[in-house]
Amino acid sequence: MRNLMTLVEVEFRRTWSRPFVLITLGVTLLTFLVIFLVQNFFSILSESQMTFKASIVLKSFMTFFSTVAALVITTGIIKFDIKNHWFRTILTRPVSRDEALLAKITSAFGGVILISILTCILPVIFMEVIAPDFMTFDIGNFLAVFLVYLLNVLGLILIATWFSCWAGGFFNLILVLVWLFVNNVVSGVIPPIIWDNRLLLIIVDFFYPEALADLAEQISGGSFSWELLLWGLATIAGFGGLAFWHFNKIKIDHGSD
Amino acid sequence: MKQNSSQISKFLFIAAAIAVVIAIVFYMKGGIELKQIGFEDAKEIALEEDKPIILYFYSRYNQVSKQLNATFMKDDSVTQKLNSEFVFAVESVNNSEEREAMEEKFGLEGIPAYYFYNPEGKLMLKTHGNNSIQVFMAAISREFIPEILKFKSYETVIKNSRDSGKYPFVLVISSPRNSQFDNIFNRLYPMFEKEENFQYLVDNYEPTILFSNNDDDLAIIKMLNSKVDNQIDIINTTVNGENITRLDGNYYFVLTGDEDVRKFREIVYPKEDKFDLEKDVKSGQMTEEQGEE
Repeated sequence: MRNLMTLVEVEFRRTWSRPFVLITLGVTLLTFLVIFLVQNFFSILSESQMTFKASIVLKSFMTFFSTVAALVITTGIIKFDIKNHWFRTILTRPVSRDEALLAKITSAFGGVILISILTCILPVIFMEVIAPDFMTFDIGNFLAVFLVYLLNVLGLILIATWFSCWAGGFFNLILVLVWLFVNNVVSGVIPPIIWDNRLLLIIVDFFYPEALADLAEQISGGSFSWELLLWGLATIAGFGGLAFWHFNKIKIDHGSD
Repeated sequence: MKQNSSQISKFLFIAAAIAVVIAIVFYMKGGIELKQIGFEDAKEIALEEDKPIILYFYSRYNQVSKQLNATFMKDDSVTQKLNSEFVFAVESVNNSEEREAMEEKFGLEGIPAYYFYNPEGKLMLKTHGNNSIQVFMAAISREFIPEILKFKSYETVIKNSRDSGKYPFVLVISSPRNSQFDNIFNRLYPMFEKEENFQYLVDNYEPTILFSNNDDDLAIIKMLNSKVDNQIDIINTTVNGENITRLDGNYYFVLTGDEDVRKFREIVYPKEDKFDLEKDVKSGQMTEEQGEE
């Protein structure tokens, strides 16, 4: 456990380099600035009796910022550290591969949580302060959506991590993006054709596993689905399992040389 | 360096397998079944209470339908609006037999779908797919929509206009059948955002509305087109020259496109009073020759 905490701290310091910190703060400030500049738009919407739940606005923010953060942090997450001998250095110490990978995933997830707080939670609270009539704020619903969407992003991190066990360089990012794009095509084109076939619909619905994103939307609408939660947890466990299994099988000794 | 067998991965694989099995059990049970009335019952109530009908098609196994039924359709503000302004009917379509029956009876093209009928039971507008949800939301959030959906059918309006002496007002809404991004009702908003616009229209004309994504309406639009040298552009929303035409002894106001929205406002909103032709028509000064021009 002590090893793990030390490793997480080291990984966190490696990720949060000075440029990365500056970019994150820049994006945060830009988000605040944009919200401030378009506050009149919120007032117009409020006057036309269009109010939104804070949790729905939060989910919109997270769909962009948290997803992008996860993709940036996990680009080449395994392959780059094999190439620069980082894993070889760590694993010469009394550290297991499971611990090394767990530290990496924990650090990546921690980074996404931090970015999500800065670029999603705080801006939505800022919106609530400057345009209180624009949103209805239910703190329990808000936090539940935040938590569930974070779990969805954890699934994305694990998928990208597994891809990086066998796809070279930043190719894991490209694979995830292609998968997301194909999913959009599949989910838009196929269901209108086979919507009366429930077995085939399972394949389409979960072609790309984003059940927790759907669950977050459902929670923001005041409902809950055990089915979606279980599909989402299965995604995390399944791709997590694949990542740990594959990481224990790959050759780490050879780097760039 | 030694390769290990991961204890964590074994635990995660077992957990994933258990979660998948339970999730499939939940999935096969299907989503929430709505308890609203069917279409045939809705038709009788609509005629009796003079309310338009919204007919919602869903499947208990379709992910989008399940999400909708679990959230939107359970929202008190939505159900309150539906019950006060409309007659809300549902048809659940869960297998290929039911699908074939609905395709034959309603021409159903996908799930979820929302069909809008006037109180006479005449189909006004059919929408399906994810875009249909936006149309449905607009329908229950804009105050003028239930009133527009009460417009009489084209045939009834033509007959009534001969009895009442009012001009028929034919509003043509062009929209591609499978448009995914076109929210038809929001496009009507600039025309009817002011209540007096609507009232003026109803008081002074016999209004009807034709949607080009409805086969029956499309046939009427084509018939009108044949008489007005294809001025009505069914696919695009561009202006097509003169908007007032005289046919068969009646005046028809045929409007499509954004520019026509402006003209529409000028016609039906008397305070703006910028549209000279409107005055001419009202005072009977417009001749048949001018109309045919």
